[in-house]
Amino acid sequence: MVMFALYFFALSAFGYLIGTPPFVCAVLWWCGERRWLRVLGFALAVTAALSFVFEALLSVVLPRGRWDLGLPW
Amino acid sequence: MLETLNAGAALFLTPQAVGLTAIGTLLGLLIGALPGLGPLMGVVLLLPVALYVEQIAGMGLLIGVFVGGSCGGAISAILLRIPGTPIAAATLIDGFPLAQKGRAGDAIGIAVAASAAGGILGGVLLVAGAPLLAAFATRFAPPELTLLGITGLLSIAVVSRESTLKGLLAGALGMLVATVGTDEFSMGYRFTFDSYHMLNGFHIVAIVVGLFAVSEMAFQIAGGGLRKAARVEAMKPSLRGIRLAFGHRLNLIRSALIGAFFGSLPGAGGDVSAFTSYAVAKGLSKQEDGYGEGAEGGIVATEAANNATCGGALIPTLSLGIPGDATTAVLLGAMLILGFFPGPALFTEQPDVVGGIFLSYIASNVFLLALGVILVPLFVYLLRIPKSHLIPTILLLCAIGTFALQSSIFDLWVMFGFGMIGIAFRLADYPLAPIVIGTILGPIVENNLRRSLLISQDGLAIFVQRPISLTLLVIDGLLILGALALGVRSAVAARR
Repeated sequence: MVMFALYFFALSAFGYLIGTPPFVCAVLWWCGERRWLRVLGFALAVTAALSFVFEALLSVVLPRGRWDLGLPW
Repeated sequence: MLETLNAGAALFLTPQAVGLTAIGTLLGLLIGALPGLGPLMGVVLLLPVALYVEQIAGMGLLIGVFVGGSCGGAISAILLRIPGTPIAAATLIDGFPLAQKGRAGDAIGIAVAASAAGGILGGVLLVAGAPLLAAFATRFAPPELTLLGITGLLSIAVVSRESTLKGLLAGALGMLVATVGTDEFSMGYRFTFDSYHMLNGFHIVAIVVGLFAVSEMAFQIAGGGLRKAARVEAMKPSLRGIRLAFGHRLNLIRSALIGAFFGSLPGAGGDVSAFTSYAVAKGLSKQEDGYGEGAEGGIVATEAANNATCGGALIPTLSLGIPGDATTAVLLGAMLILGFFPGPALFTEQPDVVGGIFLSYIASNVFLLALGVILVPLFVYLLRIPKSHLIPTILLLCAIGTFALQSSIFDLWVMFGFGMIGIAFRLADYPLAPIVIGTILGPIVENNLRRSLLISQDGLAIFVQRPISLTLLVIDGLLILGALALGVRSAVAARR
């Protein structure tokens, strides 16, 4: 729950695209996954996939922080 | 009845609505198959998505998840001996032994076919029963609606497994949560603490996601062993199970009737109906049927009953606006957000919407039969994914879905707060469903109570001067007495 709270602060400050991969990495690590390449790859993939589904397909605006990145979709 | 379905067809028979109902059923099957998740979690996770599409398409998506999720739990029960959902626990009794005999494909086919057939029979009862109940409920005025809301809440609390008192307290907390925001009558602010975020109260989706999804994920993480992937052998789709299930016609129809009956009772739920219909089927069976050792009839009884429960549970939800359990409470919340107001008026003012919901329910059961049999290899693949990868994905879906409601970080904190409440309640063995039901029924009870008092000449006497409200009052009294009796009995049993 502490990680979740930190994630919300990260969303407010950095937005979805920057704030999400570290959160996913942290949860995966907490769940026992120690292969860092897999952790990093999964975090980036799931962040991009959900961004595509929600922003491109469902036109949902995801959290935008002060230092947000913009993806083509 | 046919007019309602005909009107509903115009709304439902669009590519988006039909497609999303199929997708919902598939997602429900997948989510239900994952141990620890279930139809409630599926509906909770997809609720924000449903708000971004056409109304009936959104309801189709959620009803598909409800139906698919109710059946999906059988898959892990049969293959892993772990019921994906509590309602699939009864399916395990015969499903797993049948799979151990090398007939896992047959067992899944029987479970899916029985679920679909039970669901369709439940749907027929829904189409026939809901309009009748709604027609009767048109006689209800504010006093009856007040007491009906209280009856709904009491029934859920009384049958709470944890304890009646805990159920009542959880329901009271839900009603208290519902008071936050702007008062509909006086336009005054209540418990807003001068925050403009709280003027409209807490969003029901943020509450539900926090209470159920976030707290569940926290418990799954705390449980450990998340990297282990289940060992499930590859399987091919088989149509034989469908034929086998329909060989137990009488069992199927009887179990569906039991399921629909229990579903229509607030609080009874799919697990009660599944175990009851299993007991009835076993009681009527012959010794050589081998119940408990992989009997096909056992799977038919439990699966037909638990999916018929879905149709039964929608009867009071649609016709009275009283949810039968936590999942239908979330569906009711979704209907309110989408602009439908379940209750007698919905049947007279928006029969097309009612028809659309009926059709989406029946269609999702048809999709269930097709998808459940064809996509068996996909379920096997899904069961091999370790939970360590599912948990962060689900948490992300919770966060994105909740944020998307109003593009508000505040909603994320509401979800977080209710996640903490959910964890505390689970640790203290308090039920969560009454909180949601209290949150939904709270405003109905409060507004109708105040309307009743406004139109009453004699204050609270209005509740005993009208026959229907007096009857409901007596039922409420009996429920409270029953709850007290249960409390005394369990206290005595605990002392012994």
